Amino acid sequence: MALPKRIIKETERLVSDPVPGINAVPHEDNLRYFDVTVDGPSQSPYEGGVFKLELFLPEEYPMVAPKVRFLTKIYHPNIDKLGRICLDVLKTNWSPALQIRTILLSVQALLGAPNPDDPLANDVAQRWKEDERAAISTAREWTQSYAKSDDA
Amino acid sequence: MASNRDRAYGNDSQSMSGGDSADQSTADAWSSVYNAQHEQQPQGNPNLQPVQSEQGQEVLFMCHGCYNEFHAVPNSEFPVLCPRCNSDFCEIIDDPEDDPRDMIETTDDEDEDDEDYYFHSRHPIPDMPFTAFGGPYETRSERERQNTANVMNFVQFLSTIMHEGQQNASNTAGGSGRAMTGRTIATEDGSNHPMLGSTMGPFNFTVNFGIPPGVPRSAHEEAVDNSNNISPMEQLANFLQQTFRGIGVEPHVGNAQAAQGAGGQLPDLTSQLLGRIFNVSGNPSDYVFSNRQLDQIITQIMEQTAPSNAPPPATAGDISALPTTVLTPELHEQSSDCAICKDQYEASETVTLLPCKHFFHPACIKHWLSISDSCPICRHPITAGTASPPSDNAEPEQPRSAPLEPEPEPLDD
Repeated sequence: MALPKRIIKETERLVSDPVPGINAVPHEDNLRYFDVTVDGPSQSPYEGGVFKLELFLPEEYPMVAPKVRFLTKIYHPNIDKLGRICLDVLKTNWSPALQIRTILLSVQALLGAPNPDDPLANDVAQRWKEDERAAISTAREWTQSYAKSDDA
Repeated sequence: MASNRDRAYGNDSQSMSGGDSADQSTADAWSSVYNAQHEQQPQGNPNLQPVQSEQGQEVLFMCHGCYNEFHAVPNSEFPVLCPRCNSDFCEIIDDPEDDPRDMIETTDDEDEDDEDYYFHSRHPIPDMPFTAFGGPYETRSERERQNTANVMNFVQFLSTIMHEGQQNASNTAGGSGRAMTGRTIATEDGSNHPMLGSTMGPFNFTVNFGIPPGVPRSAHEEAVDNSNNISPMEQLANFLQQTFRGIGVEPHVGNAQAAQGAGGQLPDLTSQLLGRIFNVSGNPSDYVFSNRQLDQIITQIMEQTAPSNAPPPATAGDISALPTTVLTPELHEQSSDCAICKDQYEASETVTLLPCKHFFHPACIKHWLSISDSCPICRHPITAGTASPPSDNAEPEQPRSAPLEPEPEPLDD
């Protein structure tokens, strides 16, 4: 199965013109599967953390959205314990004009703007609404515990 | 501690009352095989005559050689021989205070690791092929014997499971929850299952090792074993092939695909086998066996249901009604590549123009609009802007349920 030209172009551009704070590298044996790291945005409880994600381009891409999932444990109302992300552009608001880089930018933006009113992790979202300071503090702790960049 | 253990055994033996008669049938089956094998040999064993003939006097024995449990009639003149391994080191189990099975559970003088030991004691699979058929296993190295025995144990375990499955298929009364005992091959009432007399007994695949030339063998064994030199792994492969073929024609499977038969359906058949082991009803592939698989299914469901509030596809009529235009230098300056495929436009290429004034390769935008009626760039639907005259649409079309919004200005300037 030949890789669509669009995927090749996107991959080349991700390497030659990387998005600051975002790194996406395709697997050698599967060029549709990317190892991704996203830096936690500054001014957010995720600041200083480096979050690992996996990104997969389905056969129908770009007619369907990439599948993106957090691999690093993260305390966020829109990301559940399996790393699944509640993000409109990954679901209903996907458009073929979006790309890997724009999707990952959206993910990074989501870290900076948690939305507990559209939760995926209900317990986190509830805590976020009831006691935002405590929730943010937990998010910061988790960032320190799980998202420090020392690659073991 | 000891009393708990005893109580546990008490419960066990009560709950196994059905299984005991099964053991007896097993013993019958083994002894008939044994007798078939040894009918020309002088030393017959009278204790291996069917024990059902003297009902009420038979007691439970346990063989210390292979941990087989069986019913037999104590005989003062002849030592009771284990119907499986032919050992005379058999003990009557009559005193719950001194149950020899306690010894099995607690002694570990063979230095086996726990898992092997557990398997061995709970699924008493004998070294029958080597002893009952006079196999030369004593002359083999212990290591070789152990390897062969491992494969044999596995094969026999599998064949017992498969046999159980066939029994369940024909005996709708069930026997649920017994597949893991690995020993039940009779119906609930203790009568021999018809399959026992057929060639599908659990012992058919155990006869190929160490049979010295000259020992008489049944016709079936000859059929199974044409050459005397089949390795254990080949033996296992043969067994699996035969077993899967057996499933393929089994009515229990019931679906035409499997009934078509033998080869090429290993995944399906493997799941059948798993189903047998875990005693699930229905199609085993309807089940998940781990949290991860369950999560995957939930994710799938979420993905399938999520796009429900995404824009519906545009109709084929609407799509085909979109105007096309030759790319002018102005348009080319506006956008140099197709946002869908990211290919650069060539000069004077034909593009499809959307009502929002965004344009794309005709094939690209047609594909997308057939998924979602929205401009890839500004999300503006193609129907809201144009409301193409009904006369243009050959096919009947439902009017859009949503009222048309006031036409927004294109966002591209």
